[in-house]
Amino acid sequence: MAKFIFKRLLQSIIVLIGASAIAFILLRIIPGDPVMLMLSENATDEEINQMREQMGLNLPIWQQYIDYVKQMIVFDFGHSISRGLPSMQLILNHLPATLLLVFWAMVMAIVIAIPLGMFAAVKKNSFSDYIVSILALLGQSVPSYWLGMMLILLLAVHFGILPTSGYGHWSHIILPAFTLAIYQLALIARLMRSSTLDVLNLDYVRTARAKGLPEIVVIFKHVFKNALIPTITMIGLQTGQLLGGAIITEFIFSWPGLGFLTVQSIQAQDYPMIQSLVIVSAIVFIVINLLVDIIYAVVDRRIIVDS
Amino acid sequence: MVKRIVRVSIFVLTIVCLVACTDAASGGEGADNDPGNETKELIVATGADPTTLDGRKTWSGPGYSMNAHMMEPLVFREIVDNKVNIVGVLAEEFENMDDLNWKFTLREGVTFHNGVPLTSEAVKFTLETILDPELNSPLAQWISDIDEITTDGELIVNIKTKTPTRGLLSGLTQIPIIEPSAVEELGEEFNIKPVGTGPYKIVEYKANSSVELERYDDYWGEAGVSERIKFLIMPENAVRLAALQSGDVHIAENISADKVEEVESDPNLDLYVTETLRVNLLVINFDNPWMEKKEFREALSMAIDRELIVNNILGGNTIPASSASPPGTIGFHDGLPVYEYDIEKAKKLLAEMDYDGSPIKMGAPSGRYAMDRQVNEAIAGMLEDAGINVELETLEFSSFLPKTDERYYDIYYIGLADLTINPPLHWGSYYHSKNSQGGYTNPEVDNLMDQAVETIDDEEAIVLFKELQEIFYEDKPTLPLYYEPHMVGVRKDVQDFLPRLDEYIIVRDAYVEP
Repeated sequence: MAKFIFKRLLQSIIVLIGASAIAFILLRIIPGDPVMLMLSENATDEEINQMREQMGLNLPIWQQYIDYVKQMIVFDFGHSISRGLPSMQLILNHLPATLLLVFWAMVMAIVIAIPLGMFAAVKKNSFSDYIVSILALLGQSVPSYWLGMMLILLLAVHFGILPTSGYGHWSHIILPAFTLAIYQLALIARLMRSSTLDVLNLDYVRTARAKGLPEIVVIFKHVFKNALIPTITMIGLQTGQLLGGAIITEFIFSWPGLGFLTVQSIQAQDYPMIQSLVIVSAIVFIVINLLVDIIYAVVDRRIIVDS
Repeated sequence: MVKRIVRVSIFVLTIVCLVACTDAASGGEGADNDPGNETKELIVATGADPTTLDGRKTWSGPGYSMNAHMMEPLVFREIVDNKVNIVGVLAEEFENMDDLNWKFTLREGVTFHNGVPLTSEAVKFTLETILDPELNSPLAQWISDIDEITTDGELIVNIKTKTPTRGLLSGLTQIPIIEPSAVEELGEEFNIKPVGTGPYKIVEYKANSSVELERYDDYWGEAGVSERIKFLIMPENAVRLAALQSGDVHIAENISADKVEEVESDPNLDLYVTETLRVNLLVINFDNPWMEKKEFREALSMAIDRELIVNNILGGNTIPASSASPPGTIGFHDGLPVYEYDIEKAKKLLAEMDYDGSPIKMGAPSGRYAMDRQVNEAIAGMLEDAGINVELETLEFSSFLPKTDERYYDIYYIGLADLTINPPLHWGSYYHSKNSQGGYTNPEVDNLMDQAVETIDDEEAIVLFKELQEIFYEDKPTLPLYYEPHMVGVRKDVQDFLPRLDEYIIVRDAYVEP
């Protein structure tokens, strides 16, 4: 077992090195650099070159990379160029906002979508089924950018019941979370509808009905649980997607999360900041996969033997 | 399947745990953040995060605006009758001793927010650390001509420059003085908790979210009116306007020109429009054989209807350019007419020189200046009408700027601010052959510019500046278009808001009517 975990850990480190190397090289291939953006319109070439030298950006890429790796080994992920603070500290500052947003978006999506999908399945081919299907289709196709703006104009400006954007008060989270949730909501509702329909046609449901159970018991006791399984899998997969989708939503709603930080770091070509953001996302995925592998190995010993 | 479910459960569990932790951590902050109206607090929406509030490094419009409440420079711009003058702030008096030496006498009884009195040492420390390559401050370019800083007692600072220079005072307007012992004590934290002498002090800076200031009670001058000032960072233009309309904020900067009517027709809002110290112009790349020809540049200039751009795209909120300098700055040449528009003449000029329709690559940033993309699309259309084969490319600023540097474009659009009201500084990278962006070379210009930099007397310098503007007007190394308008939306219940030529939002005297 220990050997297996060790092997997996080793693999994770290789993935991490790969991700950081790719991020590092890509950043330096795209035209421009942070110095040029920092000094902007009025600077002379002389001033630009002097600052590049100061930051070590004039060195060959491989040398810059070696310096970078050396620092990483002692857990120094560099300082943000534009902010002057350690990049990891900034990421930790922005992480809670993103997690909060993703969490509530997911809660909203699940709480609304699951009953909606089941309802549509039970009322198959009725008018309300069509309404739900159309809404789900709309929800999946509406761009979050547009939806966010419309919600702001309607609920914040016109009716004045929610703040336009910002962070700190519970009321701030409703609009961005809903904007972020809408795609997932539609997706889950559709999936829930189809999986409920599948289950409804199974033999044991017919048996349950034949026993004379009331329809409501059949639906909630027998159908619900089984229809939920594919949906749960989807929810997990979609949560990862949400983290990525948060970028646009965070920007519109001035939500101080990782997405906002990412956009802004890219605009400023803040190399250390972007590199750290890439590393953090890589770590998140690696850790999840590692844990899954380990737990799975505990459940099923054959995996260790095979590997 | 099992693997998937396990994976999902771990993911969900992790998030739940993390959210639970953060909720506990940030639980208290919601209470005082009610988005209602408070008479004692003024809320300003700005378009970008300042990234750092250490006055020695801040390099963005919103950052300047915020810092202007917390920190003060030795001297600063005062805008009277749309003319910019330099007056003493922390320096009660300043004197030009000889060609190289300047003497600044500090105001007595000024204290920093941590209680430490302002001394000449603090000034010396601020300037020296900015000049130190270790700090890597872009502000170094404002004061790079300083050779030596010495102090004479608590209140006198002597500055010696490397060459006789008229730029020193102008440069110092951009340098806020900070407190040395706080820098030492706070280290990196100084980026988010700066200590200065201004009428407001920092409460909290939340990156990408807000900057909160509180009135400093021991301020040496007239105290600020509002008890608290809060800057909210809202990058999306439409959202900033929405927040203003709904009353979430009292002041919103950078209202886009296509929303001007909407703001003006709103009974709760006022719109303040000012021209700024920024000239928006087209830079010519002299590597292109056509661009190098003066007649060709003239034809380009004549094909552009500046009035139309100003009135139709920018909503009449600014004026067409007549000079490479903005009005209000030292030496602005008010005797030059607006660049001529005559499309027939442009066509004739092109025909006379047998322009063969070779493509002209034009570049412009998108989202950096007011209506920049729309303006450049219009210009490209106008040039096409005159028969010029234009290939326009608009890019996000961070992708656009590097391309201008490698001289990819034959002509590109940019806005140049004369913030330090020292023309040689913002002209330097575009007209002086030493580092001209477009490759413009004119020995006469070089000569006059070198002379102007060393001329300390304003009257003499103005003569030189005017002569230079005449040459630029005639020679067209750049095609000035108009002066960047700055539009600020303000709610009607806000009193005493003053818009500024330098695009700063300074609200120390503004307040919300109770």
